Amino acid sequence: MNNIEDILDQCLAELQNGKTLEEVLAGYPDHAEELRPLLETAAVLKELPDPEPSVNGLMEVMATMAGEEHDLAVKKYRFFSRPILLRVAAAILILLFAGYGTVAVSANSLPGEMMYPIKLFTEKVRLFLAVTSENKVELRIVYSEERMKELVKKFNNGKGVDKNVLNAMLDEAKQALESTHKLPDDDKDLILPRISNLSHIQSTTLLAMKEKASPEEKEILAKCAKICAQRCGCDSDDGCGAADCSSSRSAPAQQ
Amino acid sequence: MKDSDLEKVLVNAKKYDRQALALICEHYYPKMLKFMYYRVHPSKAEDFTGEVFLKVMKSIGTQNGNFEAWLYKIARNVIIDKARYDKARPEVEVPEDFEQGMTNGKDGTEKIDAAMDINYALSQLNEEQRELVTMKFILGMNNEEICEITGKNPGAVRAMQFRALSSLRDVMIKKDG
Repeated sequence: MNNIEDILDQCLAELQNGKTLEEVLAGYPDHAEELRPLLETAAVLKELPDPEPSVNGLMEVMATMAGEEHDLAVKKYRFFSRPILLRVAAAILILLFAGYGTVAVSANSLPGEMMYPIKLFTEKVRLFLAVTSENKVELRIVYSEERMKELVKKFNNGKGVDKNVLNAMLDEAKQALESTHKLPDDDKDLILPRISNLSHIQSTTLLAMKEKASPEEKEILAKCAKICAQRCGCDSDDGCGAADCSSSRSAPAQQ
Repeated sequence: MKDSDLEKVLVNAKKYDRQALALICEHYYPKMLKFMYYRVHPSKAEDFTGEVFLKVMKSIGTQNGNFEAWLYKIARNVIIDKARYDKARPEVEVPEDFEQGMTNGKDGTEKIDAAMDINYALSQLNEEQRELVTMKFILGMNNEEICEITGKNPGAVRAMQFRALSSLRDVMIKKDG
């Protein structure tokens, strides 16, 4: 083997197989001077650090996957039906990628803020990690409440009605309600009143917001308040703010 | 993930099974990010990696043959497409946030310094050389894998790795001098 390019390749293979640099060079004394800096450079390249994936980057890829799957609609699949080991892997993933601090900071973030996607991502992972159907319903209720708080906070900050958050609030409650009907009767009896209570509060909150909203927003809020009222059980055309709603719960203060 | 497990996962991923797709993503995302990080530029790595996975999602159903080679062929095409639009030569300057987002910091500052030097040196190589260096030395691929991805013959790969290492060494000596 006289060609320096082939000799270099052979040396690299020997290094890969565990020989030391000196051992390798000893086998090619005529070329050692030329080979040494090249092999040292190769060694530096092998030791380069791995870049750390960011939460946003990973989330974008996950969102891409979810979006594409939806578009392709090749197979209907329940996103949160992974086995236990995968749930654990996901938990490790989020701890590695996000870290406790980031997740904690994101908990109070509002839509449009930098940390808000991390908050949603964390919620998805928690839902993903929930083992029982009952736990999943509980989380849906919590998330629907959380969306309502975000909606009110943004509205009170003069940013109007965030339709995406409003939709998310209704959607979480809807999914909680649908899932509850599939639970055993004992669990159903415990959870249905909570959803009714949540819906009542949401209906009265939306009606309170309606008073201060723009004409276009008033219409949307009235429509959504009616949906909540139907879920509450009072089924009033005017939402739970009407006198005929039998619920005695009070709406959360708008702050 | 074992090779046998990966094969099963791939079969399901081709049917757009969500669980299998998530596993593929978890397995290959860090590798692809590393490839883009050194092959293109740290600031563009995530953008390019996301683009690769978008293309993977669009065509995994019809994928045949060696999956990893197919994946890196997609990555090459993404780089070529982006370069056409942006006329992007790899940037020479080291970004201010380069030190952020580095792991494996066993030796702390020394490793980051080495990465900064190498990234500058890589930016001085031509596209083919940079690609080969990233695949062979940074990702640890063997010559056969590189030949399959790039379509080059083994002799050309050996010749190019010699020239690429020589150029890198020259750039690093110049920079230090």
